[in-house]
Amino acid sequence: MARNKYDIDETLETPFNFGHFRRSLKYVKKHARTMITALILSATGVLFSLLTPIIVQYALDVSIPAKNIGQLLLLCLALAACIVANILLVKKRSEMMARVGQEIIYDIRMDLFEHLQKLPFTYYDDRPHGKILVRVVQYVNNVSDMLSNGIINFILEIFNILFITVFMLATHLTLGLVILAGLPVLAAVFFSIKPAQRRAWQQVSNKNSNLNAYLQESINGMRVTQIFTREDVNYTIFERLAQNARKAWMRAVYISNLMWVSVDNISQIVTSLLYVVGVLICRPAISFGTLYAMSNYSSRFWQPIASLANIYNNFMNTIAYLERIFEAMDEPVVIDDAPDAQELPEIQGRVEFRNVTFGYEPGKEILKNLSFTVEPGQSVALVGPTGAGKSTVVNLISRFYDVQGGAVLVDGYDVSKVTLHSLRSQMGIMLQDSFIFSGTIADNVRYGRLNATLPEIEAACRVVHADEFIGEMKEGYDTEVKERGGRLSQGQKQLLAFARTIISAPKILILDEATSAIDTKTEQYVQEGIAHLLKGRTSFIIAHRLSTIRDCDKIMYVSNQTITEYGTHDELMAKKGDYYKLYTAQLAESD
Amino acid sequence: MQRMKWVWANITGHKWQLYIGYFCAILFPASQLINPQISAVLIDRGLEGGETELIVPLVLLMCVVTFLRCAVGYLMVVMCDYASQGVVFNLRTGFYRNLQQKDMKFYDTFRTGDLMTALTSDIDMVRHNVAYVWRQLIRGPVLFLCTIIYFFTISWKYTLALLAVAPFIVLILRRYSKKVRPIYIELREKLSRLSTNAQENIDGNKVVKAFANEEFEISQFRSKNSDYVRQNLTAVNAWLKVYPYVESLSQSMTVTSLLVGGLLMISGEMSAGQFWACNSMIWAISDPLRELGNLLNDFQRFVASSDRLISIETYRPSIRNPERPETVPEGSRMQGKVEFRDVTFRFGKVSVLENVSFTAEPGQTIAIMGETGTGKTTITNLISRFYDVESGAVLVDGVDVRKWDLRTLRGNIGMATQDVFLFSDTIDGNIAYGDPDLPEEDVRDFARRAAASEFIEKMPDSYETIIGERGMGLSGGQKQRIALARALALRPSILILDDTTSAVDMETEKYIQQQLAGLPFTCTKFIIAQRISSVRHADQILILHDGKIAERGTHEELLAKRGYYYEIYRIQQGMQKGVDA
Repeated sequence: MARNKYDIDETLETPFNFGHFRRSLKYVKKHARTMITALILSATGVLFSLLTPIIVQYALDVSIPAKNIGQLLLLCLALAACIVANILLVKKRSEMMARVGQEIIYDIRMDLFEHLQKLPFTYYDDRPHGKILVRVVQYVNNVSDMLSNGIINFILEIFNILFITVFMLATHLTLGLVILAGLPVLAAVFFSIKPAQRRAWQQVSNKNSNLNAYLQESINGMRVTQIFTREDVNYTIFERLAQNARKAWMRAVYISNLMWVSVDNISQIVTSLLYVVGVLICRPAISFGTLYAMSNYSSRFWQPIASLANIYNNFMNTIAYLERIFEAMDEPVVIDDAPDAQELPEIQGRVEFRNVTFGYEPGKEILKNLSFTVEPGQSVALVGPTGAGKSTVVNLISRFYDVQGGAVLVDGYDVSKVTLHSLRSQMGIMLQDSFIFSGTIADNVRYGRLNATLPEIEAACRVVHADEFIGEMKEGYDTEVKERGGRLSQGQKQLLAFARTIISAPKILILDEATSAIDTKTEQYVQEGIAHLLKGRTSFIIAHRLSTIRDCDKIMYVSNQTITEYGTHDELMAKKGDYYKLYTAQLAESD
Repeated sequence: MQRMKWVWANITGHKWQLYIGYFCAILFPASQLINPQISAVLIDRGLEGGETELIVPLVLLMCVVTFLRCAVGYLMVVMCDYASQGVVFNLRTGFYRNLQQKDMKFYDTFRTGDLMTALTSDIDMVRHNVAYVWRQLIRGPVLFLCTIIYFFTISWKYTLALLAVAPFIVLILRRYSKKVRPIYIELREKLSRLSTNAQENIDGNKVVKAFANEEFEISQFRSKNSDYVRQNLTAVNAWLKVYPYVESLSQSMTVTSLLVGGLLMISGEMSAGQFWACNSMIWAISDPLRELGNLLNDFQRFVASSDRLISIETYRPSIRNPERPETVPEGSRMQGKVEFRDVTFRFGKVSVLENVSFTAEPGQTIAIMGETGTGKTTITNLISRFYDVESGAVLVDGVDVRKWDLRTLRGNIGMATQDVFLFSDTIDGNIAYGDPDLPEEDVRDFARRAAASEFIEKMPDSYETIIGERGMGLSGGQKQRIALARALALRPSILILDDTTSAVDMETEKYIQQQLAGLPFTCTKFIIAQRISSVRHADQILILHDGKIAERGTHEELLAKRGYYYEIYRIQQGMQKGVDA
């Protein structure tokens, strides 16, 4: 799929896919017992509420004309008992269904979130993050009522209709058929607005998704917007997106409200016909009592249908959200544990590339037939022009991507055949992007190894010389930092990210431009600090400043889809190839 | 009450739709009472009375009434929704504007997830109240009062007996309302935390994977998720605790009706017909009371949400446009002279800059070096007025930045920072971010100057390639070069390059430096860098140490001083040569 941006609607699947609903029943199923109980409670409640008119009727017909006050009091008590019984049943049912509804959204949200954790970088790179967030938070919230109370009410109403239909037809067949004659008309209306209704709700979810995506990006990039004084342009874009969201909503409102309007009108027409047919057409004319009863049934037949129309509308709305949720859940997990994946035992740190071929897009290879071996404890520097594939090489070691040909082996194990967790947890990977989570400084460093103690955290910070600036903060390691680091300078964030990597005590260390934002002096301290850390660990270092890689055992020059030069600094210098050229150019520059 | 006023102020432009909608909310229940009357006539005269010729006109009339009633109902829903969508639109765009005017301090305080919750869930709660809750709050009492009056005309004893329970219901609900408010405030907070957690997880997905911390993330999220779910249940259960009382009391009217009505009939004070008329309309006084509880819940949620929204809206940024802002004449630009006069700046109690003074003449290049966290970036943030000085002054073209029109000031500054933020848009759109009308060839030209054209043209859609949020899918160096092109494309009077080329290889950097020396417009340049090679040609090099300017001068002057700069120079040279030795 092409990369998505805020003003591109996600593709729609127009024909209604019942599979989405069936699939959501998976979440409902485990509550089947509770739901059946709730259904029985509701049905019992209905019986109690059916008793009330009978009691009133009896009082009016018998007790009051007889002026029997004692009996009247008794009937009142019975009435009160019926009401209270019904209320208690409703309360019980509400309690149960609230729990079911909440548990369902809890489960859906966890499943979605857990799936998101497995999705590759590309999933996150290809779409605005706001579109992912809105699924996890808002969309999931929107489905709870439909999947709990919605289902119960649906079943109750269906029973209601069946019950009344039988009564109706038993009372008077012809008139019963007159009432039922409204159904095909309703069905015609239903089928004619259904596609539009479905599209309308899909558009609502689409337009909201776009709006949220733009909003989140705007908040994250507000500083850039302010410095580029782009406020007005962005405002216009946002206004348009808000306008679209509003139009989509109104369209859905216009269409979906046609349903109850149709039901009400059809039911009225049918009831009217009832009188006309009953009195003027039927010979002999229908008795008043029957007619009265039939008109009563008619309204009791059409009421649940109106409720169903309403439930159906919510259902359409919910499905539009559900399919977005499921779409994210169906996103293929490109990198996953193989079915027979084994735990990678504690490694020595030997890394081998065997004829590795790889490209981010099919047909566009970045690496071709790449082979090399790095012995445990060796440090390797990757140099070469930007975009030549240096980051790609390290991304393959930690299996952020799978190779298309050949194999990457760690201690002789193919990385695609061991569990991801056992592989990555033995590596320390420092990325160019030093993302800081909101929490304390200690929390952020601890992210590298969750059971690290405070002394260990402090030690790691000392190694990278982050302890100095942390010490200057009022609350030291307990200082709260906000996502993306708020007040920390870029260099400070990088130092924290570095400490975070170090504390994970990895066997293989990968540093991708780890010190780019750090000043020379601090960098020198850091270099000294990590020099002893690198001992006994295999390390891969990407850096543009060749000065930072002088102590590496091997240097790899990556260009033209492969390693063109590989050897020690002295060997490569003697070769007078690309590395030599690069090195002398930098040397000349620093003079 | 001030919350309602606040909503009211945001209804601007949609008031009459709301009036119509709410008016229909009065009409609609009234129209529900018409057909029963007609049907009474139909039964009495048409059927029992045998006037069969009345049947057709009467049923037709009923159809017409139904049609009209539906029309009123449809109008009610549509108008209320229309007005509420207007409110949502106004709130959304208003907040968007509002957020654009907030300063860095605000964004240090409010997290993205908080703001997202406010602009989605909280605004939706306002919508729900305008579209539904308030409509029902009008409809209910109207129905209630009309029915009561009607009942009084029949029997005051009967009516008073029915009303006896009303005060108790109101009392219970008032107590409940106070109790439930903190629950909903908490619920809102729990949702916000859930949202923040999810958002950070999504934004930080690379770090999560790098540390194989998926399980940890899941357990964190699980606790937020279950907190939220549990709080939802707390809210439901709080309601279900009072529900039986409220419901029993309001439904007890049916019993009262039968008892009192029955006694009155026995004593002959009420006829059977009157009783039937009243009894069939009990719902019209009990339903509004029954409904009150749910409406109250929704209203309390509205209170929690609107309070949050108002607190964001009224957060007063300390960086605001001055009353009478200075601007440059239309069509001209700033000169680019920057002066720091005794500038002191603190973050809370931590001193960042102390008594910093320097002057940059138009067209000069000023380089700033120093250790991590010594305030280099702060200097650039003060020039573009992202923060205000504690004491002293920052002047641009001789005018205090606090007196400049913010837009004018920032519009004349081009900035490329270390932490590159790109937008999910095409590369072309990103480079032309500051000037969306920038001609295609200028985009290409600036991309070329930023050494970005080569890799851009290799991409599948060249300049039309959509890049992900934060420029994902690009390497660090590529992002930096696009950010540089974006800054250059503004043709700014002041160009700030905050470690812009840290992830760029040295050859490319050299090329960029040459390009910067020959820009087609004059500008004062501020360059923050770690490498001597990046700063050596500057007119003035400032060395910051602990927030003070420790050394200043040209490359040669500073070398002669044998201070920090000289030391760095030696280190960097030594690093290069050390390998040779």
